[in-house]
Amino acid sequence: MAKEFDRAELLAAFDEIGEAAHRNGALIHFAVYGGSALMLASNFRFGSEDVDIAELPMPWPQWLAEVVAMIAARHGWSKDWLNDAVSFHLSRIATMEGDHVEFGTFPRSDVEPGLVVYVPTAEYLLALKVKAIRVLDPLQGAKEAEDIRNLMKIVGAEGPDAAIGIMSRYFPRSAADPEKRLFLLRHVLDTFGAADAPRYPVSNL
Amino acid sequence: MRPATLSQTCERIIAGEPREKAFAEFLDTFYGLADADARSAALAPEPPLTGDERLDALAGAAASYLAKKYRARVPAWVAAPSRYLKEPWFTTEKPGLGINEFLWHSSPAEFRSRNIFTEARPLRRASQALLQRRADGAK
Repeated sequence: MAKEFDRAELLAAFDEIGEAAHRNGALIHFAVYGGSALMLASNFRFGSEDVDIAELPMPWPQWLAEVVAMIAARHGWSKDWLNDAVSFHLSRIATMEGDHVEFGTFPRSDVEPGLVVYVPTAEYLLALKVKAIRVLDPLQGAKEAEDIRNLMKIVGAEGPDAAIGIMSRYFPRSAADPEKRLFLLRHVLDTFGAADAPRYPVSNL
Repeated sequence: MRPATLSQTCERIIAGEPREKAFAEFLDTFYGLADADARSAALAPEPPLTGDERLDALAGAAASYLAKKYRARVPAWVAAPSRYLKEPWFTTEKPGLGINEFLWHSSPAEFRSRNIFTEARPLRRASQALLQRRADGAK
């Protein structure tokens, strides 16, 4: 049975990847998105099914493929637990410098780092969530709606128009016809389930 | 490993795995399958009933919807009475006139016919488009 990651397991996996990178004389960078970004860097999401990343060199170097496979086998995780499928959905306008923040370097020890992990800013992550707007999905909808409410609180977006405004900075074409998203955001904000004091991004390694 | 079939997905839920996670993992499996025969095989075995009427109907709707959308064979088990709800289920945290009407109009036929009223493109995964593209490219 594949396990849901928890934060400690994921950080330990990043340590291993960082150590392997260092042993192979490499320094790699990647950004983590979606539920795994929230799990790593928020105080309101505690599990994720996989790790969505972008910015890794393709094809993967042999040492990286090996360490990722080894981690999967040891933990019983899916073999593609670390995958870049999310890159299809990212904004072409967003930049690594302006729209991401460094989450941490790995391994978390005195050894020279081999891996630098970034997460999207709260605004960019909110834009991705509002663009996808999966708030009525029969299985994931409640969690998606709660993520949007928390992220809106964090960025100070006081209503649906503000959330669409943030989305338009990253996805102007999708924001050009906002009626359906506005309707769904109004519905999302009319329900309960946000953290009292949501925080993101935080880096307490 | 991820569940290889929808039936395995429901077995895992019965064994205690969270339904959101088990379904998400199955969808990642399904969207990565390269051909219609493989997709048909993933949907073919009848899932065991979970004891949750909504979930059992959702499994039927999902199998029917995924099969039609991705050109697989619709398994016969999706037509069993246990795969239909007697009472409507609006997939929102807070049903109300406006959102219910929206869902009634949005819901794909495979869901609506089972009294499940949901979004127009349910069962999406972030990985869906890229996995599908890769699968198509591998043919």
